[in-house]
Amino acid sequence: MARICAGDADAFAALFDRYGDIVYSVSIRILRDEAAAEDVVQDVFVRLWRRPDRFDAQRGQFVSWLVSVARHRAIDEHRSLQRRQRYENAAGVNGDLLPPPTTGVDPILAALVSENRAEVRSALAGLPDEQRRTIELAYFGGLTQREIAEALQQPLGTVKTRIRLGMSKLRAALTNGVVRE
Amino acid sequence: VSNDVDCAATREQLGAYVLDALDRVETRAVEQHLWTCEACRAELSALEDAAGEIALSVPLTRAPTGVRSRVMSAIAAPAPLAQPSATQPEPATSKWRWAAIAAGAAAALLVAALLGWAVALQTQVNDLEDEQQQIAAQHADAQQQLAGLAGVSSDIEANEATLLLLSDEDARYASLDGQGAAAEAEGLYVWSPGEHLGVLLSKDLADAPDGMTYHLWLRTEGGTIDGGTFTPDEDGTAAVVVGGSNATPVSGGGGGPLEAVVVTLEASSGEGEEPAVVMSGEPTETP
Repeated sequence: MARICAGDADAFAALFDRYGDIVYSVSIRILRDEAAAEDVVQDVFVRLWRRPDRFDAQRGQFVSWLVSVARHRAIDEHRSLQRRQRYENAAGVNGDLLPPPTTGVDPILAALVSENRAEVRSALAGLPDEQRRTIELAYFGGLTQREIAEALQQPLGTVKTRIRLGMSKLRAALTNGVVRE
Repeated sequence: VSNDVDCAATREQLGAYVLDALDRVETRAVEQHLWTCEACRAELSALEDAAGEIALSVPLTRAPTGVRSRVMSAIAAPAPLAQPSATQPEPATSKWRWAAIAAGAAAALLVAALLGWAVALQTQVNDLEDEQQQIAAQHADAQQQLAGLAGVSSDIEANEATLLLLSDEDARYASLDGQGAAAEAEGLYVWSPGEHLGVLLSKDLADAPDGMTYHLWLRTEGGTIDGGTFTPDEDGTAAVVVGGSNATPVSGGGGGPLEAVVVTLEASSGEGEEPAVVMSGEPTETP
């Protein structure tokens, strides 16, 4: 990162080679549109190049920060592009939080992404479908609880309970099972 | 006891908060509590880590090769604006949001950005002066004209004060970070101790909710100065003049060096719920 802050384009290219795939994967998961996802990737990385200081190494892992920037950017894009079809799309989202076998991606990235995450992944897999789906609609669909309730035609209280229980299980899995760094 | 009740209510909502699934009112309530409760902030941090895992568990797909060349050619032209010392983290998750509050921000970076803005303001001043002349010439609707002129002249004053301060070698700066309801906002308070004049410039400020208003406060060694209430423009920018010839009179106590600049969001009536701090910053060291 120090070299990127100093304006080293080669270092930046290496960083793109490592993290470009995960940023694209998160973007396309949210946007479901290749061209729009590519725009988000470009936007996220160009911003990173211009303002590398926005990442503070003391506050957490770079990859977590980067995907959270990408997620927010993609959700913004999703909202502006697809506002009209929002509810239809949301209702059509399939639960698919578990990755299929990864092929063709940078092996170090794959290792980084899967490192120490077995417990959380099994917690995700172990969530009741409706909890996982509700969390996914919020996280990848950018919907509020109220909007999810409308989209799924479920009472708001039910949606709130699913999110609370589901997130609490994920959190417990992370705290109990995973040694961080 | 009331804090325990707040804790329980906040914990119920925190999972949805880290997923950005709360509506605006709920979000605000949670953030107000987080501001005062370290235990809930710790819980928030754990939930954010869990939410982060969701992103990292997406199916990995190879980015199309064209993206890389587009990115590399996009960065080929301009050099990075920032240096690593000027830390101002992206408010992407509240972990970084809260970190941003803790970290003192360096103003130099913002000054560079605002110098560009100052040029735009000069253009605005010219435009506004032209507009003022036009309005004066037309005499179309006396009342409307008066109202229009009042708005215009106050803008011009803020803009001229800003330009004056930006050309003042003794001007001091305090960069402000947004938080809570104004997490996206950033601002810069520029003032000249010699001229008894200061201007708060801010951008990306959301409209104040109905019945609420923004209020600028200057904390000095000797007390707090009331910088007056203000309303952001439609584009989320605001320029507030403190001191000067005929601007907001400085009232209340105060004296000695400026220690902090704070913007609160509070009920317009001055009553009701406790004002929430939505922007704050401290002066940067003098060179």
